[in-house]
Amino acid sequence: MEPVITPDLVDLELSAADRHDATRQLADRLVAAGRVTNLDGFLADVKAREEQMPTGIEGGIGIPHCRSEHVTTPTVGFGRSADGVDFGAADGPAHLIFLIAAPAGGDAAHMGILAALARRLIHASFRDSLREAPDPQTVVDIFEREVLKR
Amino acid sequence: MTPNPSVDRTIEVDTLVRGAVLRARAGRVDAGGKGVNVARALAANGHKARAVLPSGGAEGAQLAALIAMEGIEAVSVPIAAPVRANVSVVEPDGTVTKLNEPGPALSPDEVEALVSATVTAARDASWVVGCGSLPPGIPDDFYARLVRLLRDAGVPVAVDTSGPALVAVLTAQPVLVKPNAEELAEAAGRPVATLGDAIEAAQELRRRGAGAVVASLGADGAVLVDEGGAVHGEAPVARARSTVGAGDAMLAGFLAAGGAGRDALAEALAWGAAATSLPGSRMPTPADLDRAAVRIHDRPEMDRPLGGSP
Repeated sequence: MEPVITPDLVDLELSAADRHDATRQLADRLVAAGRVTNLDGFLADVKAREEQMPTGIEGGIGIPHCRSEHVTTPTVGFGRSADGVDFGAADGPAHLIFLIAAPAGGDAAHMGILAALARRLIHASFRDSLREAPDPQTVVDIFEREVLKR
Repeated sequence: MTPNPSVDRTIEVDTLVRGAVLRARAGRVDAGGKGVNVARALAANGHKARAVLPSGGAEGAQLAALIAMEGIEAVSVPIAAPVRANVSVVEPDGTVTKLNEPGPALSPDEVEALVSATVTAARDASWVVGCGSLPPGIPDDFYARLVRLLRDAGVPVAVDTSGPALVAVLTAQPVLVKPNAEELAEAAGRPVATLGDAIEAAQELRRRGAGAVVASLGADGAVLVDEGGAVHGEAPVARARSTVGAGDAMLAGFLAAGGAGRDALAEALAWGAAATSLPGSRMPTPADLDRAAVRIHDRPEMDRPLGGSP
């Protein structure tokens, strides 16, 4: 099985106008990696989910996610934004953005990742390690160790 | 998490007459739903609780407003169909006639949003409680799916439901289920007429996957069946005013006291008895609890007939 996250899916200097722009930039990386087959179709699915209910949570986090027929394998894209992007959390913009994409019909995969990720994100030490990660490979290592338990 | 919450309207009349126009003596509107009650009971006793529920239509907006007044954090998942409105008609002799709607039909996307909202809301939780019936559109294995997802993330789940949803959740091995006598009998497929019957039925639920079973037995208290065996307990209620929400208060008390073992059962009984002595679906505060009145029987009297209402 393909790894859920790889260095080319990590953007440590994400600069986005809004949440849709942030999602699009991360989705571009998923397309380039061959994990999303139809960018516009995928973005429409993420947007539908995001408009139903914002995915921002306290501590500067955004977790846009969806199941989509345009996704080939469970994937996480990560963006770090110094300026922050509004994802609807009450306490302010998101600086750590996780785009979780799962194939239609793939169930436990993306919900399980979401559940585990949300549990880790309440720990300031985990958030800080991502804020301070010097390179994409470090983010991948942290994610695999802390969230995917590999 | 309450998949099928409601706006509960209680109307008091002198006598309920079919086909007549009746003048109500009084009426009130409350946020309804077993999970909402559990959250209210926990909040009333100083424990932080978050209520996750689908919310649609004018009733959904009203429900959100009512919950906000209770001082608990609500995570409302927008849905297209309105949440249900349930009506209770109360007569002076205590007779209650309930008219419950089936609840909104959720689309598959709405069910997915409810699951993702729940696992996200569980991020800092010590327990997740799945409560009540499933509205149309939510498959019977919904609670089973939540149990598996959250266990993998390290969160124990307690489930208080009935019928096919209760049977289905057992296969996912939930840490705790809390049926009443009727739900227990139905799920186990055997009559529950005595305390011994209830313990046997609870053992059957454990054989099918439940870690522990707290069965609420109305005026006969409650029984806890876990890997250590069976413990029965009861708490006298001088004047029962309303059993509405008493089982929810009991579950909240059990979790507030750690969610396992004899001491948690004792706390559960104190909360349940206090709720029974309060009107409507009022949840007990610390001042309402009488822990000294709780009696625990380490050797349950197996032949004891169950007479109290569930």
